[in-house]
Amino acid sequence: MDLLANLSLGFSQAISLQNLAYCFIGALYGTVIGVLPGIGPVVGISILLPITFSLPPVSAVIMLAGIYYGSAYGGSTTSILVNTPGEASAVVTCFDGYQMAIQGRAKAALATAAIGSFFAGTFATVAIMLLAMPIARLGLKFTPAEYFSLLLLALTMVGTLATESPVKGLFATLVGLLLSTVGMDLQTGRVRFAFGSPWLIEGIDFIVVAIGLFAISEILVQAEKIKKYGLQKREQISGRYWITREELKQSFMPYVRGTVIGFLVGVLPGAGSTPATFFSYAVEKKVSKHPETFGKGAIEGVAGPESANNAANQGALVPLLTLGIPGSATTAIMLGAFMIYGIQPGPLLFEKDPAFVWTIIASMYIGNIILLILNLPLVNIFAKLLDLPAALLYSMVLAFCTVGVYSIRFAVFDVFLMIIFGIVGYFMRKHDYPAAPLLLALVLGEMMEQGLRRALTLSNGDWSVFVTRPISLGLLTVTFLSVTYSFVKVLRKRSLNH
Amino acid sequence: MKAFQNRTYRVWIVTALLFVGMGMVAAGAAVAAGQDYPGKSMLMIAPSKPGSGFDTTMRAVVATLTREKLVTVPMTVMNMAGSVPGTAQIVLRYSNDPNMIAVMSTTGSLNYATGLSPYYHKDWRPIARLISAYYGIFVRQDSPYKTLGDLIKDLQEKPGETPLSGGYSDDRLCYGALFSKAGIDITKINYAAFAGGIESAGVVLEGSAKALVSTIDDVMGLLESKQLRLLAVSPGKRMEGPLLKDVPTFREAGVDIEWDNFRYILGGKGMPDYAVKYWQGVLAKMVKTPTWQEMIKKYRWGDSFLAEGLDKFLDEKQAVIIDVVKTLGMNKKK
Repeated sequence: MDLLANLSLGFSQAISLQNLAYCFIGALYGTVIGVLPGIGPVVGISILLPITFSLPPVSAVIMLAGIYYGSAYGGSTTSILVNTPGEASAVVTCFDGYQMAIQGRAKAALATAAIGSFFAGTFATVAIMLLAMPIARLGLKFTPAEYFSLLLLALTMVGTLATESPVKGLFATLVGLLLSTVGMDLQTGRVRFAFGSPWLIEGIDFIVVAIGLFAISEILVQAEKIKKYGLQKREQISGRYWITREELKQSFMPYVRGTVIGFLVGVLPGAGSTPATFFSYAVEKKVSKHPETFGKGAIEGVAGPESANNAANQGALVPLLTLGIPGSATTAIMLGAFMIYGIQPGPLLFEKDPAFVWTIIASMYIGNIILLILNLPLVNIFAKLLDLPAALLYSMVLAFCTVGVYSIRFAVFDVFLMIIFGIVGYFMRKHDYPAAPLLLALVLGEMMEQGLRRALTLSNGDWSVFVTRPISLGLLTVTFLSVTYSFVKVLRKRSLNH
Repeated sequence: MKAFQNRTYRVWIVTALLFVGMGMVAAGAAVAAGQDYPGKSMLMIAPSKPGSGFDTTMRAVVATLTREKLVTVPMTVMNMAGSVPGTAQIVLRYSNDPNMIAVMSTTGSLNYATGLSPYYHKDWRPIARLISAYYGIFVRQDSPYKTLGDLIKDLQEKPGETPLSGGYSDDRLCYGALFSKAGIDITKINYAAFAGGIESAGVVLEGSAKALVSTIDDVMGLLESKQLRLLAVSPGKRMEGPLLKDVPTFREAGVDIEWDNFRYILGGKGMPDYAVKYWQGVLAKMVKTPTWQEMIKKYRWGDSFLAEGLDKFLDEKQAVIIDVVKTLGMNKKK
């Protein structure tokens, strides 16, 4: 059939020695970029961009794509080992991944992340192959009104992320929403809460806050431990075993759910992979038979989001390749790169140059295989890092975080911000305020607000647009039901206790 | 002389001669510095995120200079978080670094006019204008609007039902200038702002917005695949190319205005004259090369090289932009 013919053509080109090499280099570089905190694929791709100019366009795109999904593999490594997200979409992996590492199950966490990424990457590529155009058209139906309703649903799911006290969770959510308003508002062009600082005009960077709240606070906690108990000889927590069959079984459905959720969210232009990971985590927690294990080392909490991450990255390629509309910040750079190579992504690309597109798709399969082969042996090596004395390990983490955050936009301001949030995170931990809702609100707040206001601008101030549009109505209904259900549950528990 | 027989004197004379010699070498080096420029690697700043207009422009420059072997020292492109902190960095950190050049555009003048940025072209040394990016008013392929006049009519009669979309900064400036010149009350128009032209295309393709304001190169793909149709373009005379040559300019469509987003290269305020002259020379050569001509054709940029008289051009443009901003009420930021 046409499909198979195209695919085999693609593969024949993709497995040329040259293209394999570029794929490998891209994937390796991408993994490293993902591991380093602060530097994400956005910066990583732009650094390597000039080198790609001298390559033939197909090879250049193969390498860029390798970096792109390679970084999705690498980001979770430091999240799991030292509670330091390597990039924004790896933040959710910190929640349970780090707990697993502390309990001596680091290898299992790293392994499930790698396998889940491979699973998602492969199946998402199949989805691109088969469903690219129809899904892209569906993605276009998501206007600002639908974005708002979808993100409102996501924020209400935040309730499930607050383990102990819903009130504290709500408070954290509101703080996150407040922080998300800092910066320039696109609709009026006015700058809010910048207090005259040019560094806040673009808003508060999510990854800076995440690294502060997670990594720096962890460093403070570790430092406090050393102060209290002295420099203890660290027990071998890298763990003996790799990953058990039981754990793989537990991870399987999260892989599937994560892939589906991730891909669908990734296809929506502007969404990106970070919200996808939060969605996946919330869904896993909701469908789990043991939701109380989440936040304490539930492997589903790593498997799902890691799959979602990779699937979302692939999903973001759909609007890019089919319509030429970037789905995320990283795909926006790739679009710029494509134009320099002389490629115009869009529906014409599939028609005018199918060999090109199919070679890219074939190389995505290959890239995922390469990354799996690359990452699985690395699991043991990385886990050994945990055997380093805590003082040494966390000092290194602090150094990496500082350099990584600084390198985002060469601003010492960001480093100070990271430290401030580190201190805030430390106190939040001491008083059981959950960080997850704050981060989710920070990441979604701007999109949600812009969605709301754009929707109202386009409807000339008519609020009914949120309920007359079918997709939006559907999402709002689910939100309403989910909130009501949670309330009913709480009320019932209270009346039982009385 | 008796002096030369005394060892101490000899030492003093040799030392003195050495100092004079070093002084001459140093002076010679200072003069030669001009000849040796750039000498070490160059920092090429694109003060916004990768993939943006500044970024693609600067990278196109670097790619051309490298391919045509016009510059042999390494050139590193550095991105910044955004145009406002970017210009602040350029002025505060690199004003006196002769090995830094950057790209700037109408956005710089706009940021100054709206009060977002305290810096403008007098805080650095403009070297040469390279290109102009032009804007277009786009509609969905099946839209009932056939001319710009049709759209203007609806904007005047039923502005609430004719929402537009576009980028939030310079696109908005263009739309404001265009439609206020056409006599429409801007405050009545609903304009949904997105990060850039291509991001704003979604709502037009879906139908919620009736027209799109964007730089042409941003949405070229959608134009080529016939999902969007052009009503009018912003330059003074018609553009070239199969898709653009039949599209009327704003003037031809009835609104007496031309608009562009010009991009120019600059150096720090303290950049020495020899460095400025060097870059003006190199860039003048660059814009004549086949690689560069290919680049601008690909991006639909207008070739508008200008070195002599650039300062005057910027002064005039700044005044115009301040005027438009006031009319639009975009300057109520402080």
